[in-house]
Amino acid sequence: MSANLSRRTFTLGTAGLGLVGALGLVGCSSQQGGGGGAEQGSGRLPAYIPYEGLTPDLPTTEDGLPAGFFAYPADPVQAFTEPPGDGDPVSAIVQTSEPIPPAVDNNPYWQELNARLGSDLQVAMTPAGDYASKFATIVAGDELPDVFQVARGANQVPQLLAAKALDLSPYLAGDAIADYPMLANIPTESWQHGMFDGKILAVPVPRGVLQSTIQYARADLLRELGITAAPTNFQEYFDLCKEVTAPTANTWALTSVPTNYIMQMLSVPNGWREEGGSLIHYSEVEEMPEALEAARTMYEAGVVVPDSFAVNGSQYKQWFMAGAALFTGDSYSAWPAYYAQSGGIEGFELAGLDMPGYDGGEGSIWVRSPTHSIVAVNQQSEARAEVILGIMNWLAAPFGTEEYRFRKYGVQDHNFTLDGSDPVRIEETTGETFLGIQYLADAPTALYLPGNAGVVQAQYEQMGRVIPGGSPDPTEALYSETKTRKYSGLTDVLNAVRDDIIQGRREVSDWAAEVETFKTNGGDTIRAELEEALAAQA
Amino acid sequence: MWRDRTLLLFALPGMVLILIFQYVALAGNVIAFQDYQPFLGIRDSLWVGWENFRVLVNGDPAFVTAVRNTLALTLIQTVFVFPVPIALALLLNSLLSERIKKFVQSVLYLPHFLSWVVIVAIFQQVLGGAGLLNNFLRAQGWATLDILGNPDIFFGLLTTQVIWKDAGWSTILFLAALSQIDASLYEASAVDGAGRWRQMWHITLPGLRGIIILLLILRLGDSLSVGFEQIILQQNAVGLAASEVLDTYVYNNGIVGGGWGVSTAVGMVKGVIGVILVLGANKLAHIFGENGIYKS
Repeated sequence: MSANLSRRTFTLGTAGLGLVGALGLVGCSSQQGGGGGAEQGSGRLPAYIPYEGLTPDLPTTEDGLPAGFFAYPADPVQAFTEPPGDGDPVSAIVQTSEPIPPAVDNNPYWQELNARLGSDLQVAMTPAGDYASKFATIVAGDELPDVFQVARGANQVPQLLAAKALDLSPYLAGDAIADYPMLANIPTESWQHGMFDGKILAVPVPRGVLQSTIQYARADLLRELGITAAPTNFQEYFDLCKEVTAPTANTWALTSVPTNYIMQMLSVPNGWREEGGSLIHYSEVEEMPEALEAARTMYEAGVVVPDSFAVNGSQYKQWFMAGAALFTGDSYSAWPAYYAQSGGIEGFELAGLDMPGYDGGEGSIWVRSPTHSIVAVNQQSEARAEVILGIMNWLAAPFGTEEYRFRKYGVQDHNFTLDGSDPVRIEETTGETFLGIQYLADAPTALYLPGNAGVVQAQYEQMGRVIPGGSPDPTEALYSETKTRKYSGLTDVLNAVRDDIIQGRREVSDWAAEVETFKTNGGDTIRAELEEALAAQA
Repeated sequence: MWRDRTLLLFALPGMVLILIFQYVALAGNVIAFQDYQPFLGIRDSLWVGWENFRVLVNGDPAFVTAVRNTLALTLIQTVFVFPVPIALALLLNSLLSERIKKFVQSVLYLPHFLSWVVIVAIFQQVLGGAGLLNNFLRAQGWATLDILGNPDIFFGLLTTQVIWKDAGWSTILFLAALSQIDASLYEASAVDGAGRWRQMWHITLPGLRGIIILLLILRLGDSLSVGFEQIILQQNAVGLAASEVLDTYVYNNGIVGGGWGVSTAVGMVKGVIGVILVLGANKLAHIFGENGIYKS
């Protein structure tokens, strides 16, 4: 039957090229819509049932500050009494930002994970930078596994999920989620990102405000140079960068041009700014050329590592850790991660710069999406949906449980040892735990660094100063058909122009023309659709 | 055929591979006529006729840039890269000591076996802004050179890398052709008083002419492929304007950007042009009385 169908459509395609072509132009959105209108984030959401666990040392706040913990509980609660698996393997694909771990045969941690899950977790990892293209080819090859993390920047996510992902509503909508208490512990703001066309098509990986990015400084190295004061405006920041740059010693101030940081100093919108129901794109605001000019001046002044544009984020981390650069931009999630990697660096200390205004006063940090990514279950795996959701539930056990400690730190006395009640990683075997399972399901983030309450306190305080003045993206939970089709391509073009300008290959004055191109090539349509969705929401 | 059955049996696995991965895969080109969405598959994606081919003529800036860069690189590579192995083969051939010749050949062949990722990394370590050369310059207090991030010399960089990697390897065919030249011709010409230059001009180069033309024709067929991996690995450093070529356009626009149909259309046209060039050049070779790649 399928062969007949394909031959018929093919003949139609070749015989009536002009006609079908015209139809394709007008018909594509309705034909393939799958989900349409302003319905992302609506529908019957899962109930939010917070997990009654520990009382944190530092509480969560209205502004979105995560809970902070100074120590791991001495006797972590065993949240599960039996394995969630059914004995058959579960396949998955995820991205990873860590080195690829040893294969399961040589990986005691992985073997233990499989034993605890009661099903072999066959997880394939792809470096985050390549995940979107890898994901696209997996979809095109129709080789999606049981569970798949949907790539950030994937094209037409709603349509893709409508075609490939299992509708999880029967299992999770409303109070049904009580069967999966760890998934019920995920905040509603994140669940909105798993809703498409009124259906729950994916489980979100929550991050609260931790995806917001800031400038980190090597406080230890700055102190050696006698610098302790933090910059209070752009000029001070720039001067500081020039002061610490010493190319002859292979030291520069910055791993990359801090364009986003400068934009936030200038309170450039976080994607879009809403004013009385209409939306302004960040590229259009009058501060944008100023930000580009400042970024360009910094690049020209040679305060950035020379190969910055030629390499990727993992290289930035290496430069920063090696002291080749004293400042780097990264997300809040990275704060404890840098410490975790700092073994062997005497006196390593990190500081997060605040968000001063460009000419003094306050800037406004871009509060990033509360969801890191979304994870969907394959339609073809419907028969095992409950088992798969059970495994995801297991993987989302929150801070304080024994399962959480196992997930993040591994097997006691093999991957970590206890220092008091805190798990301390054993360096040689830490690589075994880099399975990327935090991207299959995860608990809401908690600030915690084993044996280092001071760092948790410092991060919490810095966030307390910066986050309340932050600006969320007003279009975060809005749906626009054109946006899913075109936005990432359009912003790629804008970013390429931005980089050309910063590196002096084009003029700042070229920006305005590029913004016009952005608008005519789809930007204006996206805006109109988002505004419509915004009105519908209100 | 029955006589050759053993040989055919040996060839079978290769033929099956070619059939599956070259010929059957060609059918995938139908998505050039679709608004192809990977999650819908070929069966359910919408047919859009020649819509995807519009990019070839509507002056899409990204596409125009890609075409311009591709043609420029093709020209540069044909003029500068193609003759290098010939010259190298002649030099190698003139070495008398077998041992030195073997050694030099091995050294020249080696880079061919390195992948582009490794080669680009090596170039970065040596010529990059924080690489050996610039660190040295900096240590001396001299100005540094921006080599890898400079769009103006990007083509030169690519060409240098290609020569460094593959020139040695490409000498193999020429060396083989050189060894076919009848040594008595050289002896006879020496008796007639010809010097080394005259020998090269009147004996060596004519002896190589067939193989040079053959390779040139094959190169023409490939001429619109100017090094995908090599370029995509270095694209960020210089920006798309200087580095986008047809192959990277197909990848960036198709797989990364989700424009599968348009990219396939571009790739298909590229393939068709390649075929036309090969056939045309072959025809031309016949007109000039050469063998070309095949005789009709």
